[in-house]
Amino acid sequence: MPNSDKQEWVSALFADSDRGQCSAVRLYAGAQNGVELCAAVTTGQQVLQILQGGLCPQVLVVDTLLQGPGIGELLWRLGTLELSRRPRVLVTAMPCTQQSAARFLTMGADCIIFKPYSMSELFSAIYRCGSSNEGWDAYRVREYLHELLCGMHYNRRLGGWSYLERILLRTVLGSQDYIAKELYQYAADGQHIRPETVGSAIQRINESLRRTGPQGYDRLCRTVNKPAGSRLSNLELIRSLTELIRRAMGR
Amino acid sequence: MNPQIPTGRQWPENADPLRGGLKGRLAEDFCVLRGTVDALARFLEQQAPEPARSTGMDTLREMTSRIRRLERLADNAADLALGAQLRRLREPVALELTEQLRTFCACAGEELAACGHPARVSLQQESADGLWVEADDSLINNLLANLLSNSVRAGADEVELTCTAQRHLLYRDNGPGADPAVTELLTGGTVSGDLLAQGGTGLLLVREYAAALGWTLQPGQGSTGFSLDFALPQYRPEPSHLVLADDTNRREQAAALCRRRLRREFAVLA
Repeated sequence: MPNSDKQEWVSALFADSDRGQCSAVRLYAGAQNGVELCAAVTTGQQVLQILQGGLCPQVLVVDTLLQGPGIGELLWRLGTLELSRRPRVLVTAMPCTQQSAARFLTMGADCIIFKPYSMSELFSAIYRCGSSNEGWDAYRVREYLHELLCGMHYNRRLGGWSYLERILLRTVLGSQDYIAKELYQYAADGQHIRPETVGSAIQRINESLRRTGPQGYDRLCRTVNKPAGSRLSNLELIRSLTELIRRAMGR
Repeated sequence: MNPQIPTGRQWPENADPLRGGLKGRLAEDFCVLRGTVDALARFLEQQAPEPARSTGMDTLREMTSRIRRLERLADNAADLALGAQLRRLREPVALELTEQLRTFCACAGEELAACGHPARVSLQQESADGLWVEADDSLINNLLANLLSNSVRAGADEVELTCTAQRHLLYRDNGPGADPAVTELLTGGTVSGDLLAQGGTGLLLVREYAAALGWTLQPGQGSTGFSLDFALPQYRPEPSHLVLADDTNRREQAAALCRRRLRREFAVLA
């Protein structure tokens, strides 16, 4: 099986009148994978300038309270611009009635996300808006893995994360039939490393998780029908993570 | 308007924007606060060396949970402060209640499971026909979410919603049952000192939401846990509402809103 887990990126332009929100979005964008933030701007005029300048993001995020020009005029002018491709429009709004939501959709928005949203909700919505179905599935696997490991206080700087991620992309989205050696080989393909290196990296993660997140580790144990407090083999760790991510994705 | 729950509060015509403005400003500020904390957490998690990383992450996690709590409190307070205004808040739309409740139960089950709570929420339907009401779906979600978090906090692990053929909606849980003070509050609107000391605004809000929906509220009969009986006003939908249309988008949107509402409510349980 080819190692075909090249990540799909989605480019986005974010517009919200609140400066604080723009800086938060910039900071978050710098620390995540998946969404490439072209710019975070505070006026409708800046959005138009950027688009007229030839930059063409896949997703345009516009707040309903954006000023100068507001969302209505901005969406109308978006239709009149000559763009190489029309960006998908994600509207961020205050909680509103179904009628108002429907109005934004008829004005040209493709989807709506309501405030107050968390950053992971916003970035997931952007990614979903601009990605293919396969890209979106892979994104969710990455995000759930991130959530699980962070919940167990795993330190990303220890390394090994990308191998685990690559393995889980295959086990969650692909067939459930695998052996450890095959998975290590898969993760090592094209990386100029030996499969044993992957094995020992996963072993390090396994040990570290057991130490830093005992509660989460017990949950992993129970997922593969082992009593809490036991030690998982690498393959069992992969199986239980796969199972938890599959459950979270409703697969 | 619900005749059994007079409020005696009058609001000037311009109170709608006032409430909208209040809630809007709160939502805006909370959005920025949460966004900033999220961004800092993600940044720390990837870039900071130990032990600053774990200490910082713990602090930010604590901040997130406090922001969630504040958010819920502020929202409840805004609804309560301008409660009478809820009645004129939105244009009620014709909706089929059992469908709405089914969505609510499904979302509630998943959200409870997600925060590790064993409670189950189920819907019983006494007649196969749809139950049409003219109401605002977010008010219904708010009402039920408040009741549900009260039940769960009281220790109930089974909640049942029943739609009867006589246009009643029964809410029942298997918890320890209602305090007399709670019954008094729900029916007469009197708040006892004990109840105030517990600090809950949830039941006062339940009363306001019911009034805003025009639903008459009475304590339920003959069951062990806490139960409430809502009598729904008569309503016959226009034939045009019964036309089958592809409203997948609208439904997804409604389910997402319901889920968000529940998540916020259950954030306090965690």
